[in-house]
Amino acid sequence: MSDKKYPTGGEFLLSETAPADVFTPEDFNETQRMFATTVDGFVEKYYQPLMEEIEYQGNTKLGKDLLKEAGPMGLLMADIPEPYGGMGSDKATIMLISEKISAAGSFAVTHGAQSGIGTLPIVYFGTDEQKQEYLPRLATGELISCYALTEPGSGSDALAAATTAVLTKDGKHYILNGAKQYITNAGYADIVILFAKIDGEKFTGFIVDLTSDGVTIGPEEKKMGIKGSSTCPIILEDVKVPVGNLLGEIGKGHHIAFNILNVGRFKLGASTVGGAKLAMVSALPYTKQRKQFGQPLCEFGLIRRKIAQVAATTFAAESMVYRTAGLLDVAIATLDKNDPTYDRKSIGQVEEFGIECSMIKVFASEACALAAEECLQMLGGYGYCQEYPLERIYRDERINRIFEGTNEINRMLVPGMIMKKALKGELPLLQAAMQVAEEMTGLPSFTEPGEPGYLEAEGDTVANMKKVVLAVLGLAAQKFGAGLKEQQGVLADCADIIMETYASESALLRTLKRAAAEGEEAAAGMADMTRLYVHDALDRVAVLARNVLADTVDGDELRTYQAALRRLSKQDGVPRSKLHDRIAERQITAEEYSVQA
Amino acid sequence: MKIAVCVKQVPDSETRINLAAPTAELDSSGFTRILNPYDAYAVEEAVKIKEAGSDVEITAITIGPDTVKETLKKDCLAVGCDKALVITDPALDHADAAAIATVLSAALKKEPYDLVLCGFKAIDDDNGQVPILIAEKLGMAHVSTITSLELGEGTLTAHREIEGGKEIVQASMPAVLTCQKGLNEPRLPSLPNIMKAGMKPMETVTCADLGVEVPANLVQIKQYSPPPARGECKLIDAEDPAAAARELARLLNEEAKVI
Ligand SMILES: Cc1cc2nc3c(=O)[nH]c(=O)nc-3n(C[C@H](O)[C@H](O)[C@H](O)COP(=O)(O)OP(=O)(O)OC[C@H]3O[C@@H](n4cnc5c(N)ncnc54)[C@H](O)[C@@H]3O)c2cc1C
Repeated sequence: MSDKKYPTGGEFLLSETAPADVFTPEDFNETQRMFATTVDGFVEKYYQPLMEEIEYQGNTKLGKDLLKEAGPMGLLMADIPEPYGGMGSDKATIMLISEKISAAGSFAVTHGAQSGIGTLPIVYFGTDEQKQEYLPRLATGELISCYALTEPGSGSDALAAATTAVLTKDGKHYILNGAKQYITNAGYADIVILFAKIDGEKFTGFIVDLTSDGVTIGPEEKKMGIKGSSTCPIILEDVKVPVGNLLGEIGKGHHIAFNILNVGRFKLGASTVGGAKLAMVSALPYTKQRKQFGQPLCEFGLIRRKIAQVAATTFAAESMVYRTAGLLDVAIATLDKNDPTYDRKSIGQVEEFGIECSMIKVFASEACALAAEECLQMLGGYGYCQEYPLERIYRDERINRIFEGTNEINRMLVPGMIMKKALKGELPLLQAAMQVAEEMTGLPSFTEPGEPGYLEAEGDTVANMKKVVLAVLGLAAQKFGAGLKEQQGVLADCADIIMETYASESALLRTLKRAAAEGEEAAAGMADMTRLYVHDALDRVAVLARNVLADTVDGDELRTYQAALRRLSKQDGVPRSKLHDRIAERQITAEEYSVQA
Repeated sequence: MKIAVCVKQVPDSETRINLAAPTAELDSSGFTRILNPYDAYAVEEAVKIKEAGSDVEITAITIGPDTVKETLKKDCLAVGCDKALVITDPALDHADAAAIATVLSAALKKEPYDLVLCGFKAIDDDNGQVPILIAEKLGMAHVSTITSLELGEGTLTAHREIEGGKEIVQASMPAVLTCQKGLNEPRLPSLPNIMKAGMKPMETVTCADLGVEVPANLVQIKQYSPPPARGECKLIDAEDPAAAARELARLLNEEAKVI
């Protein structure tokens, strides 16, 4: 491994992290908190009055009007470097903006397509000339952009694109032909970042002016949710694109596409945390007002359990999302801002954390799904009707598990990227795995457990989860070698074990950091959510690991490993109902998601 | 032209106030604090004047503890005020309107302001006295609860809403104006302006720095007590609206004894 002073992607599995070293939402500074208030204000002042028309009448054009308002407010420029009219904000700020704008339903997707995937390819891969030409106008919303990777025949398998580009004889233009599908903002965008294969082979990025001859924007898709976002096909028939609009290098379009996906994923992680909070704030007041059998819904044990589980899962998601933001910012801060290749290098730093980006995309989008599902249920029949927002939140949530790489694709990527790093020698995973294997197959040591200290049991659990990860990954790599790629069941189970570990540790570290700063009393709310989450996660990890082991080893070896796994996943259980009660009570009092004591 | 905007940080109207029993002092530790919404109209009006004319300097002035700085930065400097003055002094912790007006007047004398804009009242104590007292102390004209403003050469024309109509007032400058809802639509601070706000000057002074002695309170708050618990709501179950109205009238007369 190199002599880097900052953690690298996936390193959490191999080393201990000090609570002081994780970034948490409690660490937001004054400016960041003010930004958040402005985004909240934007949603209230500009989006809410149009909400009915956007969300229930599906007026997609209003997204354009809102982008024009968002630009002057600075909501489109956080990702753009200062020399090009932006703010060059850190990732924590960018993620906070994504989280906050998520309350604007369809417009959150519109905003993401503009400020994220529609802008970042130019930020990271554009020439200085291209940056000068486009970024200042993208920052203000004068220019609206979109991003076209997906085609009718290639979705997850994006590199199988059929769109072609051929250089004209005079060498001044490329002629593009093909069709893109499901393109957010296409209904009114001025430009598109688009991928095509030069001579049918070399996958390459282009910036295409959508007013060019030969471009046709197809009709709006009739979608299940985010009905106010524009999603259209783009058809290209002999479209002439100047050679100066080629983005990045010829044949290196996949660099752009995959790197931009990483950014899309960490932003989606943040916005789905916002989605989960939105579901809670839309349901909690109702559970206090609605009475059945003579008492408010929120006093029923099963409602309280739902509230507690949603809160604890949201807490875990939020903790891992902002911990990841901190990792990215620390890594990017090691770069020299005056280096002319700073932007390009900073996306390289993000790539190092591709594992974390995929994890938070999957975990937080599923936390959001859980929140939408359970919060809708809390409203009963009212949850199912459009008079209340949960019906919409439930439909809108669904897309998050599909775009920015489906959750299946991202699950495959998590262990895949870890193994790749291990093989490249960037993560000493296999050595660590061998050590764990020795420990697991050796004689168990019995230490008499004493009275555990503050969150010590949870700390032990997290340490054990890491051992489980190393054991199952090590065994799977040993057993399947290069064929591991084909073992999707094993890979997905490994991904879930890894995510549970990252989630549990992130929740724990955040709580410990808060307790160290403000005292254990102030961290009581977080501590309860951590106890509940980590306890349940260990049980899930035990089942997943048992199945992976059975898929990878057999006979005596399997029995030895299963016995070791039982030791690692043994726990006494927590007083669940009491935990549920306490966690729920705090959410109910706050009438929204709350980490307060 | 120099404009001063006197602002106050108040608890958010959605803040839950923990007040179980009567007390002499509110527990304000958990309050979310915001700029008094009427002051936002004053800030916005000042910024609009600045945008319309040339050479306008806006100073936001407030009295309060260190925590007011965040509000000043976000809601005054980040929306267009040029500088801020914070008067922080423990002697002012429980000051009444007269004391606050005395101290603010002292601060306002430091520069020759042409206009002093204020909210017409603060939503926490609902007093609405400070601006009038300032006008009196500084010998300035005073127009209250304005809903529109036009500036002329050394004069101003303002609209005020009065019972059943509108009053158009002309006054000479310098003047103290208090702002009412309807005057304008306060803007949100944009993200880049929030960044820039950190670079604008914010000065903190004590009463001694201003050379003013805090006068003794004329008014003292003796007690805060929670409102009486609301009784159970009664739903009238009746055949038709007429029957429901009859039953309601009977209840109001016989049980509630209000008619
Ligand atoms: C509302 C909306 C907005 C969108 N916006 C954009 C946009 O702005 N720009 C853009 O380029 N695209 C956009 N997309 C496209 C989106 O990214 C794709 O839909 C997504 O990548 C999945 O591709 P697909 O729909 O072709 O599904 P497929 O790839 O056909 O997948 C179908 C199913 O098979 C699974 N699957 C596929 N491959 C594998 C595998 N190797 N292993 C296991 N399972 C697999 C998937 O997980 C999924 O469950 C948008 C889509 C929607 C619905």
